[in-house]
Amino acid sequence: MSGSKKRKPRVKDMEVIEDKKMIKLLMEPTRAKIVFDYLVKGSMTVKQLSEVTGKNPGTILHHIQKLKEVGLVFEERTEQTQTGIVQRYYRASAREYRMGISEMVQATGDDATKRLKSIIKSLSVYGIDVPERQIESAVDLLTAMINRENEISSSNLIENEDEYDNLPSSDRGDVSRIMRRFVLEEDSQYRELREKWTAFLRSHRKGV
Amino acid sequence: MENASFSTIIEDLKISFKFATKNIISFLLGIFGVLIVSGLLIVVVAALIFLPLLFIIGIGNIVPFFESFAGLETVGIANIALGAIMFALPFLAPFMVAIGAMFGMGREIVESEGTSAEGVFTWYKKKFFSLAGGGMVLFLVVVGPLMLALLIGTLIYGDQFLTIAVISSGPANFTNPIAIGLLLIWFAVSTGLLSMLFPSIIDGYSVFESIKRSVKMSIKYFDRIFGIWMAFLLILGALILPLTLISFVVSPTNPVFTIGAGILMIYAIPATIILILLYLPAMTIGLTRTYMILTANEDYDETLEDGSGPSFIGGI
Repeated sequence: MSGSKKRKPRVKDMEVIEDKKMIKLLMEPTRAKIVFDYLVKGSMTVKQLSEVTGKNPGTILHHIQKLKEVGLVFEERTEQTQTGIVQRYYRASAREYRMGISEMVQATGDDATKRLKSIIKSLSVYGIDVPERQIESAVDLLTAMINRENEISSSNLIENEDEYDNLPSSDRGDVSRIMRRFVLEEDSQYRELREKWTAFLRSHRKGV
Repeated sequence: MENASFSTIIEDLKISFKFATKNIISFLLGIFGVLIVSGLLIVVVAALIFLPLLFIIGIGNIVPFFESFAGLETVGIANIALGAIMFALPFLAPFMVAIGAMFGMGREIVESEGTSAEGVFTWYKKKFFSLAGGGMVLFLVVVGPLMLALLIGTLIYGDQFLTIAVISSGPANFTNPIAIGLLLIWFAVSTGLLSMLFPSIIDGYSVFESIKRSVKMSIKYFDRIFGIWMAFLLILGALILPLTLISFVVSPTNPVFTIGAGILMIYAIPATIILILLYLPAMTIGLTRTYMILTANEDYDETLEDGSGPSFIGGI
């Protein structure tokens, strides 16, 4: 409420979505579009979101409320326009999201597994042919690697958050990627998984 | 922005009626549709109440069953009234949801300048139980203390208390002005305290949380909330006051009075249309707008992202 000194919610650098309720909520294409395509980049009003998605404002408002309930979106500020409307600006809680693979499999059942299998099969366009009988083990390996990557990347590495927020957005993205790559390289468990994965890919590359 | 002055209230009213006029077609269709749905729901509620009753007492005994209520005057008028209110609540709920759903349309307008008729059904469906709960609480808060006063009064003084409190010893149908005055004050205060209830429910809060928020807000921003609420009540009064005069001016002997009654009856048609299609939407817009202004997170800094340039570092 206005007047009470509320702290502005901090927009996280990266967030791994592990909550099944959140994952299910984001399976809806309009909601996913609102969060991943628009609100991660900056704050927007219901009207603006309605214009870019082509959905009516009521539908957008219902989606925003659902996203707010689970904490994926927050109200950043409110502005009154010349015409008298009171616009609320909504923003995603993080600048980048990743879905927790195991949780996604649990939440969506076959869909996530099918998608992972499809990814492995699609490697054939790069000349990596994984035989049908090895697809399961490839999925397991990839899942383990992504899980570890998410685990490490979701830890907060920033020491000075205020300074980080004041960086130009392109610099912020670049330093974030440099640091996340660095901490991954430092992790022995991740390195081991990545080596296994690289070896797996190498062994199935055409002409090897 | 949060404090009310006369010009703020006038500005609030102007904006509310302007948006209500702009969206009159959406409101017309929305209200029409939602009334049909509410009517159908009431039939369902009636079926849920009366069908089991038919099974229990049997079709043949239905007339004697209702005739048995004839002797109820012995239990006291206030008790009957209390029973009637409890009985009326499930029938009232669909209409409360309909009014609440209109606040949803109001929210869409306040946030994005536009709404659609089908929007009201989405609010009706998605917030049905919260709006029904909120509506029942509102009804009980407004009517409850009155019933309590009647109950206590009749317990102490007997049924003649009702006659003394509400109907004066003057001509029949002429109500006690003190009682009516107190009743109006209570109505204005209680509804004013809960005027932020529906906007808060529409904002995603539970019924209990919305009651707390509404009461807190209307105390904290008393001038702004009661200012706009009183303005809407005064407009309502101005609209319906002439209609209440109809019963006083009807006279079989005096033709002047009869002409007056005729004019008032003609007035009743546009007044009802304005009330439903303009006043009610404007009220939902005005209260929602006030709610949104007062709950604005003004302490937050604006954090617009600067234009994102190309990244040098690829994804991992």
